[in-house]
Amino acid sequence: MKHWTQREARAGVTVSPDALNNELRAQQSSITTLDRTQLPVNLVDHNNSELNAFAQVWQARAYGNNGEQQAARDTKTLGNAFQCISYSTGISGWVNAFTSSITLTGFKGGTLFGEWSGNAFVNPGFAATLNNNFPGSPKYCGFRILVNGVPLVERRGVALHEHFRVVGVGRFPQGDLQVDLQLHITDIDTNEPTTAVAVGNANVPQVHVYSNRYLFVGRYR
Amino acid sequence: MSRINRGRITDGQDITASDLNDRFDDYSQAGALNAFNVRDAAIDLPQVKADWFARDSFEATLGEFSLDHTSVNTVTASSSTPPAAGHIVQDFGGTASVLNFGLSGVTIGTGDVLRVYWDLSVNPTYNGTPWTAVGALGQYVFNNTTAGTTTVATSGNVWVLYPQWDVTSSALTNFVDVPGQSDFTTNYTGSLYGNTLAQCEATTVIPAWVQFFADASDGKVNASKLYDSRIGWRGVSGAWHYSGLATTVYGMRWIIRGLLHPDQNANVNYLAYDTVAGGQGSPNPQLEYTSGKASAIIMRLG
Repeated sequence: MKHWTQREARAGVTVSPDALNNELRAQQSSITTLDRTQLPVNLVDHNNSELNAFAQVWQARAYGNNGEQQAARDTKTLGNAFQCISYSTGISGWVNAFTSSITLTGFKGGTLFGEWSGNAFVNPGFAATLNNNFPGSPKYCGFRILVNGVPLVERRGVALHEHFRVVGVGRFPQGDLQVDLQLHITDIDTNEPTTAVAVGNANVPQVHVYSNRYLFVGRYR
Repeated sequence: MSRINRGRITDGQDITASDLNDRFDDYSQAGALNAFNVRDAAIDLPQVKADWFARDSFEATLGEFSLDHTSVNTVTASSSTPPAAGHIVQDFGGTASVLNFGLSGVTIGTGDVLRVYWDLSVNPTYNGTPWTAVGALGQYVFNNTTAGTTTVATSGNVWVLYPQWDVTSSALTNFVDVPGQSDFTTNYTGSLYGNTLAQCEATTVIPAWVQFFADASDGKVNASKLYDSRIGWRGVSGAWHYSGLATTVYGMRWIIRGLLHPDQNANVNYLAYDTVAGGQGSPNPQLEYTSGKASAIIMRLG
């Protein structure tokens, strides 16, 4: 509410044009120049700001098939192993870890923070087979996050059965964003066994990613 | 900006008090100040409280700090069925490390998300070759280059670290596994106990050991070139977030169990207790740990 700052006109008072004009001049000046310096501080908090005014979160605690990757699943792996990616599944290069993309609906333009974490099993044993004259290099499961087809973050990943977490930050224009989570396994060595001694299913498991979760935060200010 | 549609008053005009008051009302009406007459970008960081991004945050130390590892906590692998109780992450005096949300707890509304992160300095140890024991889950058998077979490690054996929360009171005496996480004690077939991977939403796995097989040739292992390696001291991390039914959380703590190994049953993947490998060596496989941090952030989804 506005209040008189010059002089308030009451019934029966002697008036003149300046009684009003001076008041309006003062008030109009106040209105047309209202900016951040004239507003009170600390008036906006997480309760009274409009939804998605400053930030927006998209998340899933168990993404994929009950949190498991969906790039490939060999059902003929060894009994004491996950049904997962083996060299029989033909996976190579960067592949989508899940059958569907994530859509960040209503992204308003600004900074996007992305986070993908979970556990990864990697079969590390055959890192240096015969006639491999290069220094032994662990077999990795790499991870990357694509936003509208552009890498937000790409990491070499893990080489053991361990937890991973990859995070990245980028700036994107407004509009729904399509996010793909991709993995990359180390290709087979020519001397490496793909099956073990076993009755029945004997394919050696190579990579599995599970406990998958993601969280994206759009920051608009 | 909003406009006031009333002709201006000029010198010599016959006016009354009501004329002035009507005009003043034009300016003093409630709601006249709106988005149109607030300059672009008028709301900026000075107008926004510091809690606009994260409503609240908490942090706690897990375990106890020991830079040179002169003091450590030790967890020994379970070799019994059903598996032994999990180990509560604690300081060197045996006091559980709790991420405390205060006497009133913190309420996670339906429009909120609780983000929890943790890390811990750990050192898996073992003696001998636990994976070669008869019945151990953590072994593969390959043909070798001398026309026989060789038992090697799968390098899939892990320790697990996962959180529990108390959503009943600040007394913190009713910790339960967080949603999406179970305690690896389900007897799913025979003598095997564990979780489906769907029950591992908050699990951090920690490798127990690793073995490399050099000079494999034509799909056969060279039995004289097996190299097992200790994992050594390393930092491990984990994450979990909760959003959904409104709940008040009073505290969280962390549990360590081991050893576990990948398994499958009826086309369902499991992390199962490998109690055979867990019973090998003197002492049995152990996980040493010192300190780490746990932190929680409460944010609004929108």
